[in-house]
Amino acid sequence: MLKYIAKRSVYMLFTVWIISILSFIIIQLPPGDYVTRLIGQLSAQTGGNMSAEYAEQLRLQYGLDQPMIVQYFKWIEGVVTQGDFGYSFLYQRDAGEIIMERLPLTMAISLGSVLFIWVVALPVGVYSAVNKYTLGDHIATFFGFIGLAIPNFLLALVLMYLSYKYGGRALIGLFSPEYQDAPWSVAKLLDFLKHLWIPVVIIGTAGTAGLIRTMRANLLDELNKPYVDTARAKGLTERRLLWKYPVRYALNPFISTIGWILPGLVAGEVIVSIVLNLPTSGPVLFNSLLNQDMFVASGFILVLSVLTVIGTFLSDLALAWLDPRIRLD
Amino acid sequence: MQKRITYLAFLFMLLMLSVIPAVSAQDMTFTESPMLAARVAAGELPPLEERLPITPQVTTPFNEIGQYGGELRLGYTGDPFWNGMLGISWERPLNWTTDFSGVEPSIFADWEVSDDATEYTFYLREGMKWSDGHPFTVEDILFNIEVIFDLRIWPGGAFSELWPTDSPDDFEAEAIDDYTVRFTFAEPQGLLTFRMAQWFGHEITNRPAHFLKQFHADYNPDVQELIDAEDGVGDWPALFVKYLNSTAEFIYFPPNPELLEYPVKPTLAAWMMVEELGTDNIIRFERNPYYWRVDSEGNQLPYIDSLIVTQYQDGETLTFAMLNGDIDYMPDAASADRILFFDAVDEGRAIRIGTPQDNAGVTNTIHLNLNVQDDALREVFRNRDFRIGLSHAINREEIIEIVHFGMSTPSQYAPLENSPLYNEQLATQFTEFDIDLANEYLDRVAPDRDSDGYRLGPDGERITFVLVSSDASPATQVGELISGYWDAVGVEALFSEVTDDVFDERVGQNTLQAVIWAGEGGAGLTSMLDPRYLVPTEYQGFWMNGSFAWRYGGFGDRVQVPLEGEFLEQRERYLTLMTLPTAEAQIEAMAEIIQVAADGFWLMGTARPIPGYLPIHTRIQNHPDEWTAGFVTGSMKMTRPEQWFIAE
Repeated sequence: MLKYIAKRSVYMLFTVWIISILSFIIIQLPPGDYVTRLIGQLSAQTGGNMSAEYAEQLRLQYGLDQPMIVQYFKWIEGVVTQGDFGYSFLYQRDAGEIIMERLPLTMAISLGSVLFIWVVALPVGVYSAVNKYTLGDHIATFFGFIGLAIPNFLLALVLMYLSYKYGGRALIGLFSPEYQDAPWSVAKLLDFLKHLWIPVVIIGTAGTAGLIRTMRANLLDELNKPYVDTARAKGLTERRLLWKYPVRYALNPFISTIGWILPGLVAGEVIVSIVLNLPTSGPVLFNSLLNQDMFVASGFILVLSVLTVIGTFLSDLALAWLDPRIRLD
Repeated sequence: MQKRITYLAFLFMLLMLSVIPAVSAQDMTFTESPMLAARVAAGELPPLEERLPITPQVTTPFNEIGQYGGELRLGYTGDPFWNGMLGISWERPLNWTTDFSGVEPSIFADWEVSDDATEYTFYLREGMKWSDGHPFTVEDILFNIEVIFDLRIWPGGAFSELWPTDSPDDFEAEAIDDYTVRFTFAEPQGLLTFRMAQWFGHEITNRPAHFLKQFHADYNPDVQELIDAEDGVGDWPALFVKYLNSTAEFIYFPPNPELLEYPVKPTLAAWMMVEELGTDNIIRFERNPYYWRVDSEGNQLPYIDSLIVTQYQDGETLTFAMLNGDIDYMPDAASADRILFFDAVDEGRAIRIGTPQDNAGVTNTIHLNLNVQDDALREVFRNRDFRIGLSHAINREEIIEIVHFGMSTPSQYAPLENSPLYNEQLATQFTEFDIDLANEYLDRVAPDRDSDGYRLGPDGERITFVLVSSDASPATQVGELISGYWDAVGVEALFSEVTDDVFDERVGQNTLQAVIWAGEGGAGLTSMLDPRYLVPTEYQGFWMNGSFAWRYGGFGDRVQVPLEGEFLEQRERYLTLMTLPTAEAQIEAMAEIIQVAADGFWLMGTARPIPGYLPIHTRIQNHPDEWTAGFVTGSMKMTRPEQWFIAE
């Protein structure tokens, strides 16, 4: 086991390193840089009065005049040795600070969504499989597909409108105005939990639908296997039988996808967060990409990939524990 | 009976009294916000009398004397200045009067113009101070002018929208004393006071000399220390520009976030920034303790203590925030949301609707680029009958029904009926929808058609061109309708909406063929101050694309098309107008220019602008119900935000 963990850790480091290079390069692939973007904005607004010299000065100041490989090593050295993610051109602040500021709320929403997905998908999936082609199954399938088909942002807009129309106020943001800037307190936490369900439900629906389908399909495969008949012949109650054997087999996809859920949620969360005005990492990442604020963007991608890689690793371990058929080497 | 007459006389006297007030600031006693009074008591601020100029500018409240305090909550999407704060907190040398009929004192207390309009004397306010307490004097004005024309700072070329010249040698600016400045021009400059009241006015009043001189080698011999301390700055002009950057100058948070390090750059505006835009998407402003305006009872303005400006990530969210009552004010509201807000009012939510009257002449102008590069196309476009034919082919009533809620009337681009510059011919000619008449005119130009029914140009090829609108001024619905109308008379106009960048590129390279754009310049004298659709002058006069850069030297690699013939004559008429000393003479000259434009019929319009709408939280008081909105008027400045107040 220890050997396996050690081996996987080395792989993980390697993967993260490759990701850091790729993310750094891809972000710089579009023509131009932050200074070009700045000049573009200035000239659109004022008719253009930025001298070439000033642009050069800015590039020099930001270190954008150096070759990409030099920029990369400077950056990754800072990240690894000092946890310094570089500087945000857009916000004129430490990029690491910006990333860390936004990460906890992102994690809270992501974890909330995962829990929501599981709590809904597991029982509904099992019910659908056991009661195949009944009215209940059709209803579950119908809503599952609807959830899968409707884009998250549309769902967000519709829910926002409905909450405005019938609830008196549109639920935007993660906090009420009075708690927006307040330090954390019990009241603020309660207020946060009150707002949390909307993004969790919206972000969770697509994942829920997918997992219901997977659960249903896997379980259907298992339900027809001889061991189920054997168990039934031996007099096990239906309920005991179901939960003890086929459901455990069918659980595999739940566990093995833990690691992927995070990047998927962050990607799905970007537009939802923009629509709902959530202070999470999605909009900041999106903005930094738009503005070629490369250290923030690279930093975000790096942090998220590290979390993903760790998540995958943990899910592999959990899977091995859950399913004795899986061998470690 | 006797009693009644006495009563009426009494009423009449009351009425007279209310008309007469003519408040003079000298005999006022001044009061201040409790927030500042507390700071004075704590010894953190000098007393009010020392902070106000001897003669503060009086802003008469729209409805009533307000109460101090509170926080105004603003919301916006996109750029913090252009979409968020424009017009809320900035100042210019002179102001438009609230009815947009003329200019009144603002930063400048008074002015004199010589009869031939070559000599302007402006009087500043003695004792007026920047927000850090430093006196605002002629020194600041002269420094601003010096900076505008300093080619060491602007190696790309000096650029001023305020001054009718690109060279400091064309005029003389002298300090008569600390509070009097005189400008002497070689040529008469009839429109200078109007220009001072427009956007450009800020150019000479919002760079605090005492603050900026530390970055300037001529004033700070030790500037090298600052240069060394600053990352990546090699010389003083770079350092100077870093702290002084076009939009940055008047609002202190620029698209160049460098300046965020100096949120409290001194200002003359009503509020000053105390917290910059961060990842919490919030900017905070606090009242300027040295603000130099008072209300008609001597209360120092603004009434509102602080502003909290929230950036929303999406327009719909902003709309919902406004409907929720989470914010008090949004500078711009999408026309598609109109019904939502009116419904909200009906439901009794805390919203009322203000009516900005756009200063435009029409909702959309349609430009055929008379400078288009293709020879055959240019010949066709320049034929007046062709343009008349196309104008008759447009079903304006249908456009109004479909796009403008049936609320408008058909019109070409022209000053509004109540403007002194109104010209009936320009407004109404060729607006009738008549396919037969359209075909008759078009047959005079291009009678032959190809097998698909499209007309052929002089080169024997089908007349086909691209009609675009930019996403900066989107007109997709109108564009598609017009493309269809012209198709029906055998002219192929392919409509597409392009992004800003693409549009700008086409303007610069003069590869535009036809454009649908907005229709600025209708109310009052705006079409004289901004004659882009009457005279080939300004950047957005796409009907003469490439001939716009008539004054500005430094337009880089933009294609310039030399003017000739009737167009050159028209521009010369306008240049002459700019030198006329009196408003009467200017209006008379403009009437002639407009008549020439009417006879030339160079571009088309669709319909008169419809009243806009703007949702405002009911707790905001003293906001006018109707006002003239637009760039020339200085946007929200017409509503005098300093005298808004919050009633809880």
